[in-house]
Amino acid sequence: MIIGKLVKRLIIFLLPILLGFCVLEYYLRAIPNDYSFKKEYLEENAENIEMLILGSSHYFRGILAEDLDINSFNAAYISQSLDLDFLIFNTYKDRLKNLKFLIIGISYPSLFKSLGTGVEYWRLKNYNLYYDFHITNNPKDYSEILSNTFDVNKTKIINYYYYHKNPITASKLGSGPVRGQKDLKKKGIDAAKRHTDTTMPYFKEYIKELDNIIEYGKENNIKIVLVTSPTYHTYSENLNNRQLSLMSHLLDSITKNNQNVFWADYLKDKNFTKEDFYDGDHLRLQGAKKFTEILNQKLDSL
Amino acid sequence: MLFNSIDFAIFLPVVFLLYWGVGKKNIRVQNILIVAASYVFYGWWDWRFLFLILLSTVVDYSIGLALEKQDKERYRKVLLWISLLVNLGLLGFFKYFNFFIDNFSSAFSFFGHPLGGYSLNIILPVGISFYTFQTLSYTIDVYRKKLAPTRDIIAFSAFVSFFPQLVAGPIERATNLLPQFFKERNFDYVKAKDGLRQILWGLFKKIVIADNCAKYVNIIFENHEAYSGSTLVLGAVFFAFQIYCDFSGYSDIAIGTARLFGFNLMQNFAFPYFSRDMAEFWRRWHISLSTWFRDYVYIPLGGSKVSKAKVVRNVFIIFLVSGFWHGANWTFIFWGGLNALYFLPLLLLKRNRKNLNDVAESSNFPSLRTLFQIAVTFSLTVFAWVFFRAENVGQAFGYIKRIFSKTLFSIPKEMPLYLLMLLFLFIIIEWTGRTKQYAIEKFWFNKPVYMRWGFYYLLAIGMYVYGIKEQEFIYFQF
Repeated sequence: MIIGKLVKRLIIFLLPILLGFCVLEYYLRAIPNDYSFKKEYLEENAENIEMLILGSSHYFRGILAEDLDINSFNAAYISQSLDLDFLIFNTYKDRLKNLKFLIIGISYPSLFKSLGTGVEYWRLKNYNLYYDFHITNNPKDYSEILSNTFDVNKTKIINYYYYHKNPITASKLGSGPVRGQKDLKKKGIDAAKRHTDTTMPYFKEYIKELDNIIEYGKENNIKIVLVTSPTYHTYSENLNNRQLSLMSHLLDSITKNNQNVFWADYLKDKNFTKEDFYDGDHLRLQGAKKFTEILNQKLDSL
Repeated sequence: MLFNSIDFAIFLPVVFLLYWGVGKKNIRVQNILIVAASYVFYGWWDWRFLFLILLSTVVDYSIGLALEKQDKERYRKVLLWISLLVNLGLLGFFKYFNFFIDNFSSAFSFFGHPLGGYSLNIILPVGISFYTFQTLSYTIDVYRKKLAPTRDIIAFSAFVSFFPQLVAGPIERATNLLPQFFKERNFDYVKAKDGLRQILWGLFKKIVIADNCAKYVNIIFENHEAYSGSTLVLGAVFFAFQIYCDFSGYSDIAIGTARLFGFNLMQNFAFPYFSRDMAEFWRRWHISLSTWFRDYVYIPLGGSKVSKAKVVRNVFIIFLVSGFWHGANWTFIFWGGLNALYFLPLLLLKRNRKNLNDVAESSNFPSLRTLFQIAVTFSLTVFAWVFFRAENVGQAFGYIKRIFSKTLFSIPKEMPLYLLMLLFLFIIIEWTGRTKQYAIEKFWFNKPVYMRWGFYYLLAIGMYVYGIKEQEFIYFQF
């Protein structure tokens, strides 16, 4: 009975905290965001999409769905790793009835990294909360409050409810180009270092899943285009040769063995100059326009 | 499992309710639950290392029983040595193997005989330094006939793996903790409430003070060449508070959690930064480790009751070993040596037991003299912490060299006012509670309950507002 007393008092003590938590969580989740927007678009328009773009920020920022010649949607996003790309595709593939092209962005780190184990791990909650995927079991990954700091949440609340700022950064067709430019030299070297990881914990798993998607593509007459986005020389010259050759050998052999798969490699493309880059591995708006135009021509030729 | 994680916030109430619900007054069931919970708690981090705890448990349990049956001193010594070799062997392999190999390799290279790289990729099992010392205390006490060995393997397993203090102490003595596993444990409302209060305070210290200090400490230490002397001083002071609040915060949570289950663990920190000399500091800092070394190393070596030369040797031995216990790095050995140098004059001049009472015992404020003594002791401690925090000895000397430059008297570049305010409030609360087991043990007990609760709410809100992402406790790596 005395335990009951302690539990009762503890509940009374915790109740206002839990209540505050729930209210704050509710208001945070009610704020629209890029993830909820993309999910909503896919739910409502999957049937009309002829080209679906998947990948990380390199493709979210670098491919302008609006400038492509056919009905496209950019479902790529910041730090979105291949496992999440595959999950998005597998979730909507039955509804993508008019899909002709599937663009899968494969950058230098793509085959070697997963969002779940990287520094951007906190983004995983967005896939649980807004895409309704149940990727992890950690309760933190199902809560805005628990996965972000107070400062981040405070800013989100104030910007949306007080200043009425639009929190969606993606365009109507899902792309997210950026303007401005950072220190290309420093950022390029830093990113190359950050993206290098030859331990390959996900390599086999990714290949297996890629094979499944390729088979699905064959059965449904979908062309699969593996795209590697352009990078500035401060990035591309500082990459690990082993990791790079593992990636190119794999992609070469996939394209050789599958007629519906193409690899468009622009990693060291000389057409892209300093003015095209936001940082060492991301294009800015003018670079994205150029890249999208090149992709348009490439897709026409397939 | 981290104390400051959601996992633990779920784990603790579940174990608590099972323990008092299913276990009720059945000591054996309660002990089984503690062992199971402790193994889950530890295995959450990496289940593969559970076998080390199991090995340590089985070896020391068996040796305890063998020691009881054996009368011949020679054989008893052999048994003790087996326990020492197994426990210190595990510790040595997992913690110090690469250190010795690297140093031997460097030494051979220095003399013109380079050796190949023999370093192994060894993961340091969390808490190994803590539970090996705890089990050793059992075997040594049984060997010394201070403690009767136990035949109850469950109770002994619970003693070795008791989850609140398994990975970062306090390092309990078998004579204190083990008998508690045989006593009937009835739920004590006041004790449990007190435990919860201590947990709250420990979490506040860790999440608000330690983690926020860490943010600046990391930046300042990593880029110390770029900062002024004054900023480096501030960085070292922040580290002093980081390590204190991180480690004593952990101890508070451990002690508080144990109280929820009806156990009393020893006090591990007694407001060390209010110490008036270094001897007092070492009586108040990481008490469970200091007293362990005193009882099992210093006194067997003769302590202070031998010739002066031997006293000097003994003091250096315990401080250097204590430093080395913290990690396989010369920085910790320098830190230990520096503290030995601080402590030795007090011992030789017989001034080491001058400040045995609480500081400013009969007054609310310290006298100017006391304040000066506290400031000097704190400064010496902060100076030594530079070695403890630095990545290597070279960085430590570089850091110190830069402190004593012209820029020492400039305005620090990194001066987060919110953190200075938090530290100021923290010091006030610590000062008001300096005679208690922990600072808020009786805080505002003479005030109405709504004020006390208001204060607890402030602590909880502070944790959310100033909380940074889940950070590991520093002492996990030791």
